[in-house]
Amino acid sequence: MAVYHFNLRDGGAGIADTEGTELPSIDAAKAHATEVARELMRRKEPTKRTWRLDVIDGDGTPMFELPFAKVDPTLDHLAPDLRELVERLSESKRSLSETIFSSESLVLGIRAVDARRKGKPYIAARLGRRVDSLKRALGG
Amino acid sequence: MDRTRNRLLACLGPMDLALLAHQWRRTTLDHGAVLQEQDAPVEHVYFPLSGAVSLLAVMRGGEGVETAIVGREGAVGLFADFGPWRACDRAVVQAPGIADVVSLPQLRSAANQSEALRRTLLRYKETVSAQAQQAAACNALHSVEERTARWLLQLSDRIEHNELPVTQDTLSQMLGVRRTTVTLVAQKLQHDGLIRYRRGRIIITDRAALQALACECYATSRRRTEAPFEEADLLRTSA
Repeated sequence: MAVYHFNLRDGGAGIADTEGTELPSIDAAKAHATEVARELMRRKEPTKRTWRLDVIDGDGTPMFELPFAKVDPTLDHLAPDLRELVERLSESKRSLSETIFSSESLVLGIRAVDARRKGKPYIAARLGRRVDSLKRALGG
Repeated sequence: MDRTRNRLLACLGPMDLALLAHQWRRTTLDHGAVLQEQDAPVEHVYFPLSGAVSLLAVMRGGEGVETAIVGREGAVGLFADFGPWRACDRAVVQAPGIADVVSLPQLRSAANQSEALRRTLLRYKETVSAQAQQAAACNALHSVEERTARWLLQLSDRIEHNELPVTQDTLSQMLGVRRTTVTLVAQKLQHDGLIRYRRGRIIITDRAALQALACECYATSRRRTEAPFEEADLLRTSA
């Protein structure tokens, strides 16, 4: 048995799976990831198929990635080449949206540091995460 | 605590309550206690004065999904009339509290003597089956975030508190999804400032936002649960 963490990449700040799940094998972890992805996107497939699970082991070593679009049952009727196109587009869309999110966070972080230097008010948190540290804004 | 803390009992007149006067037993509802088991004969009817009880449809493998939740607006163990009186669901205490208990035969005999008692109980029974129908549609049609929001709001309505004695394991059972799914959804809700959770507790911090996230099923169920009491109030004020 080994512990696996299923971290969610949702096009924004992402969500860390702090709990982790004990599973007997990497195949069991893949099956688990598939079920979780389907549960999370169910009935919202068009918007959530851009999400991805990054699975790491207990030490933080990356094990595998599961893009939701790969296991989206509402795409099953598509021809393989068309499906691959949708999967690629979903991946690009998430990646673009993450880039935008982190740029915005960076700008907020810089403003916060600057405002603090001048003793002025500033936005301290965005979506529950502190932005007043430049290191954090830079993804450190 | 006054027995009429239970809103069904509060609807009854003194004559109807007198029919049951010496039959009551008070009991505590302990977190996780099973009040009735699916397919087992039902012997007692519980009228909660506080706390909340989940009704679960349980599969052979042991997995169950919640079909309705009962607080002080209702009762557990009611039947329309025709036997055999076997439970069609498992009743588990979700939030601890107090209930007044009466035996099913005694309640039936009282209901046979009072049209008002019969009507109040049947009217409630209808709202439970409406809740179960709504839950079936909701589980099939709505996303896990919407359902999580609905469930938290429904429990909070029952116990009239924003701090819910709920673990993520419970949430995963009630919604019929994996624990990892619940962890990710709950963390997202926490980041967005809708809830806060710590070991064994979920606190609703932004009720309006949680309501906006919940599917229509929350409002529908709430309206149906409240309707009989509003009708009763109307009757009382017009009389």
